[in-house]
Amino acid sequence: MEKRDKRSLMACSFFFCAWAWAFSGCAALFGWNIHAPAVLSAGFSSEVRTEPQRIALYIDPSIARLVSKNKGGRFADPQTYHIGEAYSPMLIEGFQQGFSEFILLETEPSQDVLRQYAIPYVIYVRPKAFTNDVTLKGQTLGFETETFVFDQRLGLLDRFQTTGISDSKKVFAKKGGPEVNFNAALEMNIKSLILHVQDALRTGRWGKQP
Amino acid sequence: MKRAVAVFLIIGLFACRPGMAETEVFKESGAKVFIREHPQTGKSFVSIRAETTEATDIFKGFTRREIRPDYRLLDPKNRSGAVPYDGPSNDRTKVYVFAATMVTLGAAGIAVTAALPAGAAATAGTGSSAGLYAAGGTAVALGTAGTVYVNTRVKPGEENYVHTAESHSLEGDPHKVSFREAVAAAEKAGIH
Repeated sequence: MEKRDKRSLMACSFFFCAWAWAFSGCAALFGWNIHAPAVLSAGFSSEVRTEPQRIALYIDPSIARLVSKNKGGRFADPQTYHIGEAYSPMLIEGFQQGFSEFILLETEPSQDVLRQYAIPYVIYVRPKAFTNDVTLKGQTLGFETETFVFDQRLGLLDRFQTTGISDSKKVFAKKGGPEVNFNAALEMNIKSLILHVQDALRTGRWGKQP
Repeated sequence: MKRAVAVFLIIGLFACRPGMAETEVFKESGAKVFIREHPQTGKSFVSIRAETTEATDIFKGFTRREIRPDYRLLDPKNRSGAVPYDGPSNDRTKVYVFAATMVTLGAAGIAVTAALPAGAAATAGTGSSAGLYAAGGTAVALGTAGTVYVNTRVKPGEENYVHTAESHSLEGDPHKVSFREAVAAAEKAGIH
């Protein structure tokens, strides 16, 4: 190969490298872009029974665009978790399963709306924390939310925190491992949240509502 | 007989209407009811939103219906592919082969990546990529999650995977917090 050809080949390689680096970014090149399947497992419906209750859900608007870049360890690869796109559909699915008359509020709840549609309880969910711990053995993912329960007059009945954790080994070695682990953490959060609400309804902890 | 029943029904309807109207008068909230369908499950649900508010797409990230995940996949005893999974996953093969070759050969690695046979690339993606990383250098070997798998040895009988969830009520007088205050606090709250 001539000297001139070698030089042009090197120049081409350099420009291609620079282009790839500039347009992909380090995280995109080496990292993990993790999207959960965003569907509850078959076990959810067997563990969460349907409660005969009208209930409304208001999801904090910030959840929809929630993304975490917590890589969970100094030596771990960059990871991007698309929390919002998975959590909202899963939460809606969970409430559909958990309550016989489920209503999604797409606007901020007001006393007029709640009274007009005879909604006795509003559940308001907002994100709190997303934890990630990557070790040599595996990965522990956790998603924490804070929930407010309001009555028809928008008086606060209950306020609780829910944490869903999935702790697994060899997660990154399997096809779909990080995605399923992530899905499990979200599902655990939703399951605990719904069971907490159902328990309060069954025990009458919030008192009788109109 | 039928005629008598019909007459009673008509009288009853006329008699009841004014009474019902009195008790059912509510202040208009300006909200409308919509029926939406969960694209993943196909189950419909009721949605309420103000007329003035534009509809938001809650299912923005939805691309196709996924099979319900089987968490047995997380059991380290089950190898990759032992439990069927057809959901979203990372195409790490390309990324890691590229990363390894970049470290090994620098800019010239691009040509090698392009020339890699399909079989070699597939092997790199199934845990046996340690060879590539070893060749690639320590920096990549330490920094990749794929290497984590190679170094991990799970003892027989060890806990497979742990799923925990907890929920607890917070202390304090809940009546002091209004919905507006809760929303304002939510706007301030970030994620770690």
